[in-house]
Amino acid sequence: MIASKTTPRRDRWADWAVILVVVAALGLGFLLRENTLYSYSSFAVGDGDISGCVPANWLREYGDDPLLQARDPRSGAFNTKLVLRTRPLAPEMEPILALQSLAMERADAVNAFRALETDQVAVGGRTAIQRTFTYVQADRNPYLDRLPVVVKGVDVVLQDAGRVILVTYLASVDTFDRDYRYFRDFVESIAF
Amino acid sequence: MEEVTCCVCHCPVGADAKRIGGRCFCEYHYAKATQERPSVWRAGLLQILGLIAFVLVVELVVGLTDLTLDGWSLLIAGIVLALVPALLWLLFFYRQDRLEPEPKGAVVGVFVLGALLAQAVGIPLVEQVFDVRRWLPISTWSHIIGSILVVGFTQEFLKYAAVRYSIYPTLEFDERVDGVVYGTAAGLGYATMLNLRYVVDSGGVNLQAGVMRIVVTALAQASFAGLSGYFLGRAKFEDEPVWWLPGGVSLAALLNGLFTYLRGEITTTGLTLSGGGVNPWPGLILAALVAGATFALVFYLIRRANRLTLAGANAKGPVTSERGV
Repeated sequence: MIASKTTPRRDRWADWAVILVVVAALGLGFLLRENTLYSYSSFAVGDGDISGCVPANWLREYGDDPLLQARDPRSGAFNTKLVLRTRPLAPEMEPILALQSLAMERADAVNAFRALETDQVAVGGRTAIQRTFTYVQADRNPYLDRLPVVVKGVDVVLQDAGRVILVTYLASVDTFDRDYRYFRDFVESIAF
Repeated sequence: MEEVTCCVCHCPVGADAKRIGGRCFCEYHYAKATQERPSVWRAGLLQILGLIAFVLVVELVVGLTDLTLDGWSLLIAGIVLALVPALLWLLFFYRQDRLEPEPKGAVVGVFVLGALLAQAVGIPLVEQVFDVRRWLPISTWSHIIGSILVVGFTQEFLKYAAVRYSIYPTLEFDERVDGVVYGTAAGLGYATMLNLRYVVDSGGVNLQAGVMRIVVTALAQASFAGLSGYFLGRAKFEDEPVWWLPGGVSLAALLNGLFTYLRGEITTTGLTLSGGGVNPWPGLILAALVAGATFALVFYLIRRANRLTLAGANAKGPVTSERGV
C-alpha cells in the first residue's frame, strides 16, 4: 500500500514546509523593518564641507546654528533629535571647552539640566569627547495636560582645523536606548 | 504486504477499504469525514448576526441611557465585552450542534490554547520584538507588506499551531469541517486575548468605540483561522500536496494582513473643525463582509468536496481519488 506509507511522510514534509514558510516570512518582515526604520539619506551643510547621512523618514531643518536638525515625528511626546553645529575653536584650546560652553547654554535654557558623564570615544578612527546629560522638558503652556518629559542627551565633539563639530542626540529617557543606533550611525557617517 | 489501517482511528481495514485520495478509512470514519454539518454554518452565520446585534444593543443602551462608567466599573465592563464574542459563538454552536456535539473540553481547550499562544508568543513578538507600531505606518508599502509578513503570518501560524499540534492528530478531529470548528475556536481565543489586552492596557474602554473594536477583532480572527482550518480539514482526510498547508496558512496571513491595513485606512478620518480621528463603523462593515464571505466560501468548498467524494464513491465503488478545489 504505497499510499499509507507516502501520506504520513508527506504530512511531515507539509509540517516542515509550514514552519519554513513562516520563518521565511518573519525573516523578510525583519528585513523590511530594518530597511524601513534604518534607511538613510545623505546631506551636506556648511558650503558642502560637512556631509553625512541622516534617517530618511525624519524631518530636517537647515540653518546657520544649528547647521542641521533632524527629528523623528513619530517618536512620541518628545521627538528624538539629531543636531549638528560648529563652533570656532583655536587649535591650542581643548575641545572640552566647547562642551562646557554648550552645557552653560543649556543650563540657562532648560529645566533641571545635569551633566552626567564625560568619556573619550573613537569615532571613525579619531578620538572624540562625549558627554551625556539630562534635563526636563516642560511645555510653558500651563493649560497643556501633558507630563513633563525627562530628556537624555549626548554631545560628541569632533575636532577640526580652527573649529569643532558638535553632534547632539536628544531623546526621551524612555526611547534613548532604542533610538541610540540612529545617533551612532549619524556620527559615524559624518565626513569633514 | 503492509496492513491497511484507517487514517483516523488506525483500525485495520480491508484492501477494499473506502479511500479519499490516498487515505484509507473504516466505514464509520468515511461517513464522518464526508458528513455535512449545516449546524456549523448556521452557528457561524448566527455569530456574525449576533455580534452585529450585540454592537447595536450596546450602542443603543449607552446612547439612550447616557451611561458613564469609570475606574473599576469601566474595566470590568470592558472585560465582559471582550468575552462576549467567544461566549456567543459557543452558545450558538452548541445550540445548533445538539445532535452530534463536538466535545466541549476539546473546543474550549483549543480556545484557551489560542489565547495562551497569543499572550505568550503572538503579542510579544508583534508588539515588542518587531515593534510594528513604530514602523508599519511609515509608508503604505511597509504597512501592507509588514502587516502580511509580520502580523498576518505570526497570528495565522499560532492559530494553525493551536489546532495542528493539539486536536488535529486525535480521534476527535474526524470530519473535514472540524478544521473550521477548531480553527474558529483558536481564532476566537486569540481574539479574546487581544481584546482583553486592549481593555486592560487602556484601563477600560469607551463602551461604544470599544465594543466595535472587540467585535471587529473577533470576526476577523475567527474567519481567517476558519480558513486555515479548512485547509487542515482537507489535509487530514485527503491526499493533498506538500504545498497545501503552507498555502493555507499563507492565504490566511495574506487576508489577515490586508484586512489589518484596510481596517486602519477606512476607519481613520481626516481632521476637521468639528474634530476627527476614527470612525469605527466602516471597520465593522468590512469585518462582517469578510467574515460572511470567508464562511460562505469555506462552506461551499467543503460541501463541494464532500459531494465529489460521495459521487466518486457511488460511481466507482470504494476507491476514489478525486480532488476538489
